[in-house]
Amino acid sequence: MEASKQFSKIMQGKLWKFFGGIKPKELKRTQDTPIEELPIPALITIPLDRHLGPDGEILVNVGDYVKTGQVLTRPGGTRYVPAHASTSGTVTSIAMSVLPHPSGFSGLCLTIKPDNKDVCVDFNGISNFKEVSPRELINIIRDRGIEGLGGAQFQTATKLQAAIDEGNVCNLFIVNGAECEPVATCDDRLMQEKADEIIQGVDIVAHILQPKLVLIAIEDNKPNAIKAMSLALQKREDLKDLVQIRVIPTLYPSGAARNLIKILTGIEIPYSEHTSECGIVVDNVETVFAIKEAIIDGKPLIKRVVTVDGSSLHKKGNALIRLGTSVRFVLTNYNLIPQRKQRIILGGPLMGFTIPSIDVPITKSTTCVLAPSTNDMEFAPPEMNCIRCGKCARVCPSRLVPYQLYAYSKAQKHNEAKKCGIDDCTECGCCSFVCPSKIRLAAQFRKEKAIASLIAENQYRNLRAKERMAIRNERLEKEAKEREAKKKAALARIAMQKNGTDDAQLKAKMIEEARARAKAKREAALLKQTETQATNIDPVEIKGNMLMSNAGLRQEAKMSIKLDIALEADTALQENSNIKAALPFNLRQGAVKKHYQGYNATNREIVKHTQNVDIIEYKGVHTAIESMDKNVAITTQNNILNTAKKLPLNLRKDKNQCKLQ
Amino acid sequence: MQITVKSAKQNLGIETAPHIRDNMSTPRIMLYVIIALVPAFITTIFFFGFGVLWQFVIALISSLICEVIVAFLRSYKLKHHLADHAYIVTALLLALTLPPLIPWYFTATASAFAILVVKHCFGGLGQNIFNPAMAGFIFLMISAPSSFYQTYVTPSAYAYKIASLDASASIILEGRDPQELRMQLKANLENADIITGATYLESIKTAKKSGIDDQINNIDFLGHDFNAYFYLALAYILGGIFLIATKVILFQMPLSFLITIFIGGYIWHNLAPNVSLSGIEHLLCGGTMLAAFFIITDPVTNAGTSKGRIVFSIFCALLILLIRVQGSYSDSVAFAVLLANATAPLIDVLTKRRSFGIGYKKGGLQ
Ligand code: SF4
Ligand code: SF4
Repeated sequence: MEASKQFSKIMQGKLWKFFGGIKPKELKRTQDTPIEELPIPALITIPLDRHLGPDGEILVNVGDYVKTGQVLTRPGGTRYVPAHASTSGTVTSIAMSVLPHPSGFSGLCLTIKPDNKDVCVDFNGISNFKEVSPRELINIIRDRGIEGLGGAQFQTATKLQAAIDEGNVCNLFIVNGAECEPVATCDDRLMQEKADEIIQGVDIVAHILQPKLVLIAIEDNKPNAIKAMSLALQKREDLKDLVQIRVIPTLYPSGAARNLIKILTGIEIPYSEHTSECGIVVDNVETVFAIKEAIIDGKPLIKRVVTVDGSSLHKKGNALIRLGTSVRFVLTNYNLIPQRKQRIILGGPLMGFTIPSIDVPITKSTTCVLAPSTNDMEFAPPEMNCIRCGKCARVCPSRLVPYQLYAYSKAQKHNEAKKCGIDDCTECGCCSFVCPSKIRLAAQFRKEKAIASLIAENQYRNLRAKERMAIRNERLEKEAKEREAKKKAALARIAMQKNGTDDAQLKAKMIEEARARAKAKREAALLKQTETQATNIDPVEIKGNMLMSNAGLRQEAKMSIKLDIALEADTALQENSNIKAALPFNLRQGAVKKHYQGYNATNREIVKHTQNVDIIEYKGVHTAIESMDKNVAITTQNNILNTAKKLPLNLRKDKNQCKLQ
Repeated sequence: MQITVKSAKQNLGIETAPHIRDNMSTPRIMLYVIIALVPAFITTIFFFGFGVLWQFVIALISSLICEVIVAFLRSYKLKHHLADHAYIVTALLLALTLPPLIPWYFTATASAFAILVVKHCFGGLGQNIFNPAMAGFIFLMISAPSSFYQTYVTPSAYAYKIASLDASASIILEGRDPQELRMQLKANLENADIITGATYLESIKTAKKSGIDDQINNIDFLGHDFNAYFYLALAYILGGIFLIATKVILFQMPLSFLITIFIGGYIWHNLAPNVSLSGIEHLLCGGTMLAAFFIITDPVTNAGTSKGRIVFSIFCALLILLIRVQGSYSDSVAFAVLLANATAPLIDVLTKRRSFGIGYKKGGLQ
């Protein structure tokens, strides 16, 4: 009952406030420059990794002729969308190429040499979408490659699907026209110029979701867009009751989905929940526009509006750019006069990233291309000590205490950082913006999250390895038992043959029993050990000399005639292999050697040495590790070090970053 | 996945987001604090003489030397290390709180203690648990109580004429006996005889203890003898307003602090008039105003979140009342602040902010 009261409040236009937020200079200089379409560039590069998935398929070959809008990939699974050719031409290569990423990663890209004719495939639009079922519409949206154009590039079809899946009812559809990033004006211009089409798009989404209410949220620094949208809405009698335009106060980051939801509904959706499962769907205006194009005109998503701004450019404005156009082409068209160490930023000044190369394509997530001069945006000044002024905590929209998080993260205390809520951080950059000591808080959090995900991945792998280890141990045990049984039978046979008397039989039986007892004892001890051992990684062979010792033991066992020795060696071997597996990763190779070096033994001596003492020694190591407690702690620490190399460049130690600069 | 040769050659600037920053910086915050202290500083010179200026110079030189030593020991870049101006603020606060005529080596030691031990032994700016200026003050008060009390002067208008630059220099730097100058300054008052101690606070405490407080009661803070307190408070408020306007401090902190002191003092005075000062006296005397705007608002040594800071202020105010009325020292601000500093981490824990999305009901909007 209370919830519906909430809903009526929302209907009446009540606005809430989210915690924190900042008011940076808006810098929206391109608010009044109309969107202009950029010409066809000399080369189109389309990154494919978001369009393939695990078992996707590239549908064209090098040398093929493709038309504008032709499907290039068939993605595996519904989590990905197909890629489309953004102009007609010949496919010249399918190879690794630099991606628009802060570290300059390369990934699989498809390159098209345009023929400048722009020959289109036939677009089959649906004029009367109301007769098509939502499910089909969603499939069309997916096939036309629609993804979130607000920057996050979340797949729209999946979002819509989740909102109407069984059990979920969509009550509220929010069109996000907040555009809170400074400088960015692409959504603003689009609303001013294509208001009617956006409303049509809203109509389509409303048909799919059947919400009780649609809100179009626009920040109050866009009066023209508000006017245009209201006009367009007035023309549509049928949508009047359903759709409302909400003017919200200008505050960064009100455009982030959860913050926008808080403003419009007063509900805080925890970061652990999906918004679509809460009966609320948020989509960017440009995405809604793309949905309209996809459904009504049948056009796939091959162009997007990008704000091009910055004092190093002679011309500024909003450009309709074909996806895959290189940033270099865009900048050339806008007359870049580069400075020393010119920064090129993809995305807004608060969340965008500088790119190390301008030969990267524009993708669906590119909202802005900025080429700021130092007058515009200064280079980051050196960091000073945190004075705990608490400004960062006052602006964090996720209600975190950034300086605390930062301290934990810097000290590599990942668990504490997690407890403090690092997962809630949206990397919005508010904290870095206000910090008087100019500490790069948001950058540290980005890094921390990357490290945390690496650790999580490692832990997952460890777990898997543990499982495998357990299975292996079981198998070994079974095998040992079988061997034992065989040996017993053989022994009995020999005894029978030799003595043939009852007396001898009895004796043999007694011996056997005694042995069985001894064995049971040994096994119990063994079991105990297997239980307590720190099995974290698949048994890795310990390096040459250890292997040799094992092999030696094994051979000895084989050659020995005496049964008891064989048994002994068998157990020893087994014990040995158990201990071997018990060693944590960091102690396996170099550490083992080091351990022995402590005894002043050369490598060759170790071989001899180990043949006699290894078991004892290993036990020593083993207990030492156990007492050190928690393999995970050790291995994760160790793995971080190991995986540091795998970290993307921007996430590595600052040193490297400096080097890059 | 690696940096290609091509990309490395383009020589573009790389930097982490966000690319724009607020123009408020730590040096600027410190500068604002210094500016905000100027009116109070001038007023203090007017009522206490030029001794304060000497103290400031000595404290500044001493802390500067200490900072240089620290920068050298920790191999920091000197320019970067000195850029934060925090040591100037510490020196200013020390000069304002220490007795104006205390010999220079005391000031220098207090300042060195504040910088080296209280600040840098804990890890430098931002890591210190205790307020350096207050800790330096207490260090001196405890280790050299007699010279501490012998060098405090009674505030009177135009004191700077009597305690001129030369006169105070001869005491502070050359070690002449301060008694003569102190008497001169006291003679400046109209009713010098009702002040038994150096300051009003000290005198009234003695009076209340011995049960004869009629004379000194109900004094006029606008009158000739006691307007020093009034104008000093005004100067601090002026500086405080400047800090609030420039968003360096939260207005909630001094407000809750002063209100607590006033109401607490008022109630206590009404319950036991011959034990406690009245509310207004609590506000104007001693270091209340200085503490309200410049000491408890020190970001480093108080609680983290806004809520925690208000709790901190109120707690500190209550401590001041308690120590002032029941303690044996004449003023209690420094002790109360240090005690409150020590509880700041606890306050931090107790006032932990709820995380985003608490109270969310499954199913969201219905
Ligand atoms: S804003 Fe910067 S200086 Fe202030 S508390 Fe946060 S991290 Fe520290
Ligand atoms: S970047 Fe993270 S910690 Fe900083 S303000 Fe944004 S959400 Fe809060």
